[in-house]
Amino acid sequence: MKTIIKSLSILFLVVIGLSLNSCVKQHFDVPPSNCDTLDTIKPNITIKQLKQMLPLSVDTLKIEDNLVICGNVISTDRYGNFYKELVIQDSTAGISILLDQTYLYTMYPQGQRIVVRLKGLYLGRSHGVIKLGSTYDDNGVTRFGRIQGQEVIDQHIIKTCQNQDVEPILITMDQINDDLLYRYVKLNPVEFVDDELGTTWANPYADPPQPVNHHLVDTNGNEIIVRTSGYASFAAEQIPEGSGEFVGILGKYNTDYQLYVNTPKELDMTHDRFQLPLNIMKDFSDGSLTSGGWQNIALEGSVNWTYQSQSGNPPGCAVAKNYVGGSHVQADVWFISPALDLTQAQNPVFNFDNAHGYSGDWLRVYYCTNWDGTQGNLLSANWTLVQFNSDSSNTFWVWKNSGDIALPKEQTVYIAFRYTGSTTDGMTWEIDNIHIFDKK
Amino acid sequence: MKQKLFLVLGLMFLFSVGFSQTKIIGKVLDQTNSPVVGATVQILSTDISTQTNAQGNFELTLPKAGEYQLLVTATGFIDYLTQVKVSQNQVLNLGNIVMQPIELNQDEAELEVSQDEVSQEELGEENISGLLHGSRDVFLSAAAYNLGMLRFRVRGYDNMYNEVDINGMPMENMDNGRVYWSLWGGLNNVTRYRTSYLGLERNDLTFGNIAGSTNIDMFPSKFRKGYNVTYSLTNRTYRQRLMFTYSTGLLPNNWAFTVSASHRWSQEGYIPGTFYDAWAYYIGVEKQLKRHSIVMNLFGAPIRRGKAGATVQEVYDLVGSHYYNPYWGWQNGRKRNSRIAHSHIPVLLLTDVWNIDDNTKLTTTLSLRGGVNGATALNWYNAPDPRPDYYRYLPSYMTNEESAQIVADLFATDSSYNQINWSRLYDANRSSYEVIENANGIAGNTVEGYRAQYIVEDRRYDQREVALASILNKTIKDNLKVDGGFLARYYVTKDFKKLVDLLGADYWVDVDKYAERDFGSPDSAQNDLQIPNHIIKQGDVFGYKYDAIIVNSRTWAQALWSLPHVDLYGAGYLSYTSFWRYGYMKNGRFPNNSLGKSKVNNFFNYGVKFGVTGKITGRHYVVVHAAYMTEAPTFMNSFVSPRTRNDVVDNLKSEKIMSVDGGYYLRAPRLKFNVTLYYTEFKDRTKVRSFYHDGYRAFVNYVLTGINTAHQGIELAMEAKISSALTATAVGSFGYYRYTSRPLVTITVDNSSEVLAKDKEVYVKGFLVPGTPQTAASAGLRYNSAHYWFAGFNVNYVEDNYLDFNPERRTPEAVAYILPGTEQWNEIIMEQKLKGGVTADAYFVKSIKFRQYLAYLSISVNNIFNNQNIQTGGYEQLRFDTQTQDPNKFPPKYYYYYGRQYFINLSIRF
Repeated sequence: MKTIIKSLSILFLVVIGLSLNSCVKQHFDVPPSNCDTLDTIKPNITIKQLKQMLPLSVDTLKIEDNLVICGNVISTDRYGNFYKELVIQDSTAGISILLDQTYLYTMYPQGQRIVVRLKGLYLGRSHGVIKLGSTYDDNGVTRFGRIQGQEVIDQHIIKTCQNQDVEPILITMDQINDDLLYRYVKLNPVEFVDDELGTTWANPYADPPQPVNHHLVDTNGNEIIVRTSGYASFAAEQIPEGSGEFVGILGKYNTDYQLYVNTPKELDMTHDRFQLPLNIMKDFSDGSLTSGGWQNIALEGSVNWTYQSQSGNPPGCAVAKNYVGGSHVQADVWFISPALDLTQAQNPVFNFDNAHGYSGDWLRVYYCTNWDGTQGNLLSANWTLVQFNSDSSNTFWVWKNSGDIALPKEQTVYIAFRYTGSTTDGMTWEIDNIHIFDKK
Repeated sequence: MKQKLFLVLGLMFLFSVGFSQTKIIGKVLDQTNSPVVGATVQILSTDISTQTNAQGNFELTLPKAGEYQLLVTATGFIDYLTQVKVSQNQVLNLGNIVMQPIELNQDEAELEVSQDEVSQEELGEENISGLLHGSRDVFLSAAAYNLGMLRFRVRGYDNMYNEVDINGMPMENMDNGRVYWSLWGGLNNVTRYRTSYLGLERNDLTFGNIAGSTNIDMFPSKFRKGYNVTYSLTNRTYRQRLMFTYSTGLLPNNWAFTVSASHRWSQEGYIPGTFYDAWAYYIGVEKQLKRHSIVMNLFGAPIRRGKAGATVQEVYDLVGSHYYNPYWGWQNGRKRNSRIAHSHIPVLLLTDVWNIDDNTKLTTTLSLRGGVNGATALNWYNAPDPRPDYYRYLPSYMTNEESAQIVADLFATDSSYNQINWSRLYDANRSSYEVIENANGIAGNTVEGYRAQYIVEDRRYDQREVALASILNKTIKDNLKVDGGFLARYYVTKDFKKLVDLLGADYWVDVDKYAERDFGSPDSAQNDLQIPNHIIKQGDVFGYKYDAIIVNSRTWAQALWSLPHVDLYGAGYLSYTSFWRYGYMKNGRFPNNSLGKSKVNNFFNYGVKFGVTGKITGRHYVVVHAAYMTEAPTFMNSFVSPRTRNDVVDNLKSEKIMSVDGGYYLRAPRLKFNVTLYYTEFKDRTKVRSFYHDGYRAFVNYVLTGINTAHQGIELAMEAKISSALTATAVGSFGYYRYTSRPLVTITVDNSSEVLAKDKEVYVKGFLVPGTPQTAASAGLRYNSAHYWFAGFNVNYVEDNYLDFNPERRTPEAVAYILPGTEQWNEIIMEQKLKGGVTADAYFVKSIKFRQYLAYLSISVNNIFNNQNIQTGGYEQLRFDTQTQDPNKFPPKYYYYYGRQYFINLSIRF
């Protein structure tokens, strides 16, 4: 017993002795944020001035002077729509910086104020848009591209200790121009065009995932492209169906302006959809006679209105003629618009270009408000004949616009182009650019 | 006739008068009171010598009376030198001479640590065991001390073919078959008494295994009575060590108690960023009754240490050191390691030794073990890879020359780039505010806060085991010994992971980021459909949770028949193994195949071995052994992806092992020599790995079956007493271990179990088995001074160690469209040899006696000439760019042998 106590007490003393001076510390404290607290580097040019440094004729320019810009980060790659690209803006303009690093939001989150030391970087024009980056070697050819290496990025991009929520500026579609490129903008009210409803932001299930262009339209009918990458985390979600506020970053691809969204969470498109102003143009540029809801009904004979690619104003128009296989045939064929709801328009009118040749029945143009849409009741509806301008010289194929023709502000209005011909004669009529709109 | 008889008698009388009956007798024992057989006893400065017999007894006849120096030497023990004074015709009985084993401070648990090797995608650690030491065999001792650190594995066998028992109870981890010496790391004093057997040698207490077996005798009554305090200073994984042991020895009331405790620690070891904090405790109680000895041994070794990892040569070259460690980074002025290994698995062994009669002994041990075992690592969600040596962060990835130079310059010197940048991880978490709807599967439950992009998680594989082993040893006649036994074990590993540090964020969401990307439905991304959108806070279990349950029972028997010139023995075993998985989470990708009990896998195995020892004379022996065994595949190599589902490898088979060896031994007073030849074949092995496959652009499970290897070679060992004080030793192992089959590989997508390739041939026939030097040699000199010190040095040589290769690179897909024999073809296909080399070690040991205190001071220096270029191991990355087919895109990772190391040890006994 004594030995047990003796040995245990020695053991106890030894353990104490072992613990002293032999501790291995393991607890770690949260480190502070990594930013330049002293604000040592100050900007000396604006982003607008920086972009002006690149002449139109030059595609790549190395910045040799000790220039510094400052701006807030407005893009985020957290949701996958931006990739290896950081967009910043100051009060004058915005610019995209190409960086070879993923998940940039973890280092430069939205709102982060950064300072960029430009010396050694390159301005480059990429599909018509000025960006900031560097060069890389592509099998012996030097190309404009991303800045590589976090060590290098850290030499140019310095985080300040300021992080502020950046508000997007409210603009209208008419205001869109190059000065607004890579700025954080807001459009309100806008909505996605009708035929795109029910589609997803992009196509993530293709191999590889595919981007998709959608179109936003404002109350005046102006449209702009919204482009989304197939790698976006929200790519499989449906685009918003309502109207309201769209927030994104303005970009451009060659001549087309496009908007990029950070995340659908920044949008508020939950209001009821608005009616677009009346503006229908049937110009046959898509090669289709009936696209847009137009229809061809032959009441008599086998002659139809057809799409013709050689004629037109410009080429691509609808044609009706009854000279078939060397002789004239009996014909009565109607080219009818989709049902038009003109109740919201103030001054609905339509006009069209036309050309003709040969002799025979003149083209008859009507509108109607009480047709039920069936072929059987076509003739029994009340069709109002309208006058239209046409070429009066005896020269064939001279294109002339019809002039504006007023339409009634009814709910279901149809416009029809009726071609007739007999077995003895018949003209050839070409129509193009049927424009139905609200004349203000 | 009568005259001749008188002459003979007269001569005899003369002889008996002229050559006196002056003798010295004694008995040589080791620390456990077992006889030391074959120890050389000699009188210095004379030719008089003899060897101890099977009972440890010796007898020396001296020419005349006087004072002499008597020296006792035996392999594995410190030389014993004493002065004797003999009178004329006296028979001086020296009594029991107890020999001290040589312990040159080798720490097997440390050998495990210094060779950290984490498989590519963190599926588990490969630990090598310490090698067998405490062997009387010259070859084994040298192999353990001198070549162990250089990753030499005897005959190239994997660690799992070694059996280590304590009091007859096998101690390996049943899920992977390996022995982890760290289970009793730091308890050197109570694990010192052991016997090791190489290869197929007969072991009293077990059938053993192909590579050999070790018995550790843990009996408080056998431990040296008194106190033993040891303090060590070193520069390897830990820098200081303090060990304490107190033993009562066998008390008059037939009780014996022993307690032992130790602490090994360092703030930073040889490799930067590695800390070490290991404790150990032991309590042993023994009661000896008339025929029984009942022992209770309880021990545990809680350890926490920071790990070191391998990296590519480009990084070693950039930072200018072969000891770069990618796992750590600075945080608030201190080094923080992201990979911390920790374990504490206490073991309780209850043993009863029943001496039924003088010839029969029954040893029964009940073992219980249970504890915690795991390692931490970083995990990340939608954020950049936090590993500083990720290939995209290296200058070789840049295509702008100027940038590459800036990156190279800064990477070389700035630890915010060449080590983990913890600040950036916290910053990322601070930028990540998110709202989670329907959190924890509760409709309408919204959680807001900073969602973690980076976390530190603890990957656990806690163990529990209950086992019973019973061994009968019986001597039937003087020359016939039979042994036999029964073993039953029930073993469970609880695998799961826990979130340890949110790194400044508020929560983590338990979803699989790859599944989120690959599949549309939120369901498939869930790791547990029972709790969708599970919000994880610090301390919560997440990701995966399953048990690996393994049940095994074995009976064995052996017989040893000793004839005057031949010893014959034969042994056999029958074993039954059963294992299955039990899942606790319903994985979203495998909802019908992850929760609950899997199919049970059963294996019936057997083995036989024979040995013949021919004793040509007392000095010359010839030995031949042969064995054939089958072994069940391990759990880890049977389940395709146990973290997600219950699927097992198709057509699971037991592996078959055939081995034969033969050797010649010489034991002369001044020379010990042996040469052994061996040939071993392994057939039908299975191996499962997981990694990201660039060709399929997915995480895959890679299952290799039909792996056959052959190991053959020659082992040489020699120990020569050049003079009374000088001993020379030399050992050499020249092996040829290679693959003898083309394994078949089946590749499945980890996320969906879609089969990408089935039973495709991997062209590695003839490839050398990687991971151990196939050529190894060590030679040394030891000087024993009469003034109670000895010193010596060794020169070691290792060569022909091969890089662990990527099997996928040896398939037709990897070399598609490349002409055979071209440079690119060779680069992809050929096996790479690691750099070997020469090292030298020196040591000095002195014993000092002061009153009742006996102190041992030992100083050893390893790798005196600081050779930092020996690659002890390495692996080809499993990722291979199928587009460019350039193997240098994901180059191999290497481990290097430490430079100059020292170990200073002072132990005091009283």
